[in-house]
Amino acid sequence: MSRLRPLQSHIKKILLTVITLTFVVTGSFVGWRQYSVGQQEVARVLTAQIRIAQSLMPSLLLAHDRRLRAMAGDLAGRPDQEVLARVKRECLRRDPFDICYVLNPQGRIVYISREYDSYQGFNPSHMPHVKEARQVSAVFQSVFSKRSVVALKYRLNANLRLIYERDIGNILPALLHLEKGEIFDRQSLVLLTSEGVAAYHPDQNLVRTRHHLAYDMKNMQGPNSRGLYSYEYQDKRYYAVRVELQTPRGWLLYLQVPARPLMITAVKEIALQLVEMLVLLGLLTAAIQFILRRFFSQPVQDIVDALARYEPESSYPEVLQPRKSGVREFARISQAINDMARDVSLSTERFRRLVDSLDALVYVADMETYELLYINRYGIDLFGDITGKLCWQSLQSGQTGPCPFCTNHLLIDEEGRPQPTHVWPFQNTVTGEWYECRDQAIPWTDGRLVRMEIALNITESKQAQDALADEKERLAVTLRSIGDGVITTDTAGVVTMINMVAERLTGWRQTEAVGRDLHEIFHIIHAKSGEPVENPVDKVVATGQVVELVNHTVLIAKDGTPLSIADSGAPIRDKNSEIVGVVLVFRDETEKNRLQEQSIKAQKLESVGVLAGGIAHDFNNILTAIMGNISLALTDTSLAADTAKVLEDAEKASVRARNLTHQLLTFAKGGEPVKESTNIASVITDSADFVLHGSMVSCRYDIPDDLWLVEVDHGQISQVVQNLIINAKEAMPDGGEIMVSCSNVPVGSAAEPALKGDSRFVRIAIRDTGPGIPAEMLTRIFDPYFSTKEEGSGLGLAICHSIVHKHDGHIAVQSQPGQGTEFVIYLPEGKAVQKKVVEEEAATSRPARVMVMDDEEMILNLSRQMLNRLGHEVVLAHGGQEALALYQESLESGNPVDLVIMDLTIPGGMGGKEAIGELLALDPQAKVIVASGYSNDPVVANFRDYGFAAALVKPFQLEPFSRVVNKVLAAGQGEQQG
Amino acid sequence: MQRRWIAGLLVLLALTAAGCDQQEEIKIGLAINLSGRGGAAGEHIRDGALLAVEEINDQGGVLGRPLRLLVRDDQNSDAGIKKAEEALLAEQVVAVIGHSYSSNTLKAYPLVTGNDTLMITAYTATTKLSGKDDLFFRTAIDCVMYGQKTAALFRQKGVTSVAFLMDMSNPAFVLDYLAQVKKNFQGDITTVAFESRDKVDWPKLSQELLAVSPDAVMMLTESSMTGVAVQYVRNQGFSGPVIATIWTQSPELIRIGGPAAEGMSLVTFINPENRRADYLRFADTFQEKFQKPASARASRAYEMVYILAEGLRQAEKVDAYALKKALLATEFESIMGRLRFDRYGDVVRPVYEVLVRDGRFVNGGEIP
Repeated sequence: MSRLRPLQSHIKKILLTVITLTFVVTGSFVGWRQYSVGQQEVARVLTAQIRIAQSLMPSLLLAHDRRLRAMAGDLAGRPDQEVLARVKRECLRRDPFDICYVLNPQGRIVYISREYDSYQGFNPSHMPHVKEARQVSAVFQSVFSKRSVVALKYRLNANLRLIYERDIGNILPALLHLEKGEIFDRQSLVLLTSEGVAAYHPDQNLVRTRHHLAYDMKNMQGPNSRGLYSYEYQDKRYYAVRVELQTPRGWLLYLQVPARPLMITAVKEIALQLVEMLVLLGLLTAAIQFILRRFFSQPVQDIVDALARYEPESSYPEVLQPRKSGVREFARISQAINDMARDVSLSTERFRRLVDSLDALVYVADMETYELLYINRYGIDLFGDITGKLCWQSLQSGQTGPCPFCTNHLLIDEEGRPQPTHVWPFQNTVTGEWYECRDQAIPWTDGRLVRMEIALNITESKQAQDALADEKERLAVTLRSIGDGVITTDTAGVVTMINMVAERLTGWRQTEAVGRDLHEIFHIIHAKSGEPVENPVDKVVATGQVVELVNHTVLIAKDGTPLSIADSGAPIRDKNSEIVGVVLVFRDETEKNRLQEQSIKAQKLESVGVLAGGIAHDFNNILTAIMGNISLALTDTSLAADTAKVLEDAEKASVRARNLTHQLLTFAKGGEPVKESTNIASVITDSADFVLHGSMVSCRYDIPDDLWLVEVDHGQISQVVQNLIINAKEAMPDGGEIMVSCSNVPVGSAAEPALKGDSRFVRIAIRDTGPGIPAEMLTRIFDPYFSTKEEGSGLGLAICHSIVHKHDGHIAVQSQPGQGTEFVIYLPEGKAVQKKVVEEEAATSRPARVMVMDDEEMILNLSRQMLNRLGHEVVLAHGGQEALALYQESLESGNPVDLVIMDLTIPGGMGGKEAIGELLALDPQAKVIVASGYSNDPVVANFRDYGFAAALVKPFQLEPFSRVVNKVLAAGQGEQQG
Repeated sequence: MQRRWIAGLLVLLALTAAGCDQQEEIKIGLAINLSGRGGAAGEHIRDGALLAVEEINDQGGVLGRPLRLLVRDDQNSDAGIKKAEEALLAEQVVAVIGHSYSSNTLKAYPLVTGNDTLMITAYTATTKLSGKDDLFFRTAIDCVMYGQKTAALFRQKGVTSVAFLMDMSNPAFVLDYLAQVKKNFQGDITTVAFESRDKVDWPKLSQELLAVSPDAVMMLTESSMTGVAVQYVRNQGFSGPVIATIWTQSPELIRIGGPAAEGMSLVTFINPENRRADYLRFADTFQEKFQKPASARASRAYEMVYILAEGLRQAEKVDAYALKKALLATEFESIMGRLRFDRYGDVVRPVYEVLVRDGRFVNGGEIP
């Protein structure tokens, strides 16, 4: 809103403006009028003057024309001599510088004014001033006088022509005289020929030099309505009147006045009139101002002053004194104002009482300036009387400008029209209380739109709502965070909530699942039958009880993944114990089930192992008797060849039986390998041929002759080879080929990083031409219980891996689907085999006293026979106690036992493992060989650690038995043999 | 409120002052014969110069400043020359174009150049101003060249004897010209001198001229006098070649000489059949403005003004010495062809034989 000013100031301003405009308009009009009149006067005077000049001009220019014309008329038809005589006389009366000359028929001058008689005979007839038809020529420089002239021509008679060169300088005196009567300052005449050449000009040089004056008269304009021309000459503006002469035709006569003096004169006159007018207007203004002040602005000012003093709160206020102005109309206005003031006062009071009685904050604020225009008693009690202050400063705290949550923009639309009431909850930043605010844009008393807010305190109900919401949130968080999957449904089975674990197990996100039927997201079937399981919701709703899912329930996730789950459903009841929904709680049992199955499988294997171990022990003892006796029998040289052959076959079968036993033991218990330096080639070929016998799979070998010996447990490595060959064979059910290749690997040449070091290895590669192993399975094939075969135990390759690593070796696999599979085994090189052989050969047999301890009678008998065959005396003992007693007895008798062979374990009694300690306690020099069917027993594998001199692995034959016995007897220390 | 009125008034005053602020004019003078004997020929010079100045000012002037041409009539008299030059020097013109006769130029030369004012002319051939490192420039060739070419024309026409009519009102040119012809022509030369400013007995003069029966008549006279003279020579029955100089190359010759001038030869560097586009445009404009054809004198004046304007544009400042330096350093392309001053302010241009044929000038070819 523009700044308001007092009425008197307005009136003064308007009056001044009107007077000024009146002065300017009137002044302009007067000025224009004065100027116009001035110009008209100039035009009138100049026109009158130029008419005089115009009338004079022919007589001035053609001064002798009439006389010469009359003469020419008189001379027509006269002889030449008479004509010339007359011309000479008449020409004597010519003006100064005028020239007469007569041309003969040839155009030559036959007479010329005396001063120029040397031009007699000169022919000017071709010159324009002679040749042209017009009576008066253009201005030109005379050949004779060299002055500016015009030529007049007269036919004298048939032969002669008179040319009269009129010096235009001769018109000068008359025109100068005429100019002396000038009315305007520096007025002057200008005469231009039809070519624009100056024929008269105050500057005579222009005339003398025949200056083309029309060229210099720039920006020619006119004539205007007053007949005035205007142009610039030498940078000065002129006004002029112009007339065209009839004779000479086309000549222009100007009477010009410089514009500047005219303007100065006009301005002076205009200025004088304007001053007079200004004085008059000033007086008029003062008078009008006095009248307006006395009878209008002063009474109005009185009313305004009274209204300014008006207190709306006062009861029935008397605003004005009605008769003070002395003007009836103003008295009536005063009375009316007084009446209105009383009405306003009553209305205001009613409104105030009404709004102040509200139990809510009511305030009104400007929507642009945020100035508080009104606040009710409730607000004043809270914030004080903050009317006139800014709402964001007074009603809120911590605001540096209009509140960011201000709703003003919601109260009006883009075109500034009020919108429906905006209702919103808000926590006041000063009181901390919650209010339900009802904001509205309303038109204020001055017409502008303002913000009105009615704020009702809702703190208590808000706190109750928040507590409820917190509780709901806590419950939701608990449910979503619980370790088991939780799904809640309504009684119709529509999902209402699903927690995070349930999301993971079902594959459905909560946003997807809520609102869907439980069947869609919780698809459960029986693990074994694949039939759908009864919907637990239905069951719970039907029974009203907690229900458990049947065993072997499988949940089919969204992506089709089957998960074994355990589940229970329970009803959700409302406060009236009515069932309003069902909650399902379930967990993933897949891993748990898998571990259980593995545990069961391991327990089974362990049982089989124990069983195999037990059988093998007894079997070994039996085999020991068989093999021992066969070997004893074969020592009989009297045997028929056929018999010997039969016995040898039996022995071979026994050996294979022994190996099988050995494998059983290894499988059953694992255990440390009993290593010896071995040529692996025979182990490989025997094992492979054994496995492949009778199958459609052939085997090729690539084994160099200089293949190094390896330090291995013959049985365990044989088992490894057999497992690998079996796998290869089973991979090629329709037949195929297995390629076994061996090579020496020098120090540092092993391809496997795990084998770097200073050892040398023998590399064994077994490759089949089967379908290969998928890449995702390659990393798992050595895992226990991992099998791709229906009936596989999942232990074969795990045992291979275990055995090879116990040999400080390495096993790896390479396979490409469709390109077969290759297992590569690295085994450490064996040592000092040749030396041992030499030593063995060097060992000699000498009669000795040997004690054999075993619980098996047939072993004792066999051992006695074999030792006797070797020439030794035998003492038999059936257990550890007996052996110790017999040994001590032999020591005391002075016939000590030289060697003791003790079974490692004696069921129900003291075995070798327990007896060796006591025996060595009796005789630290005692030589004791441990014998056992458990070749992989730690005591057998590491017999020296237990005090034994050597170890014998049952079943044994005569030859290895004698070698070990002889060696121990021959040396202080023995060697293990089996 | 009062302040607003004052501010408005100040703005109005400033605008008015700005409107009045015009660039200072560059004044050049033109001092020629306009009212003395042969003054009609001077009209062409004046009008050509006026047209050039008007065109240059319409194009924005020189360096934003308008040119002002001050025309003074030397009246072909010593007093008139002095008066005209003093008036121009008082106006502090930067250069004076003038005069129309060599003698008048020689008289004005010390006065003008001695006052550090540049002088330039197209109507002065005297060799007395040749080879001087001074403030004098000319776009006309000097008498040395005229002498060679006139002698060559004599030879070309098979002339062995020539009678020279010499107007001694311009002795500097006339005598110089004669001397240079004599240097190059081995035939017989007779001379008849007169003073055009005095009363001339034309019959007697023509008889004297032809008394020796020359093969040719050579007129060292200005155009109007040549027009008169050639009538008397022809009246005497002389039918041989009548040859005149560039001094005569003006419509006045034809206006006054009439049929008697037919067949005359003029030795001049002005090609009357100039077909350059800029020359034709100039000729058309001249005809429109002054209602008469452009003459050789007018075109020379027009050329000089443009050369001066271009020199002023190139000059470091507006004074005679800066203008001289710029004129010497610049090559000009004028309506009459390319032009460059030598170190003395002189020029070399081709010389033609111009013939009067059917009442007008035609090019008879360059004189070898």
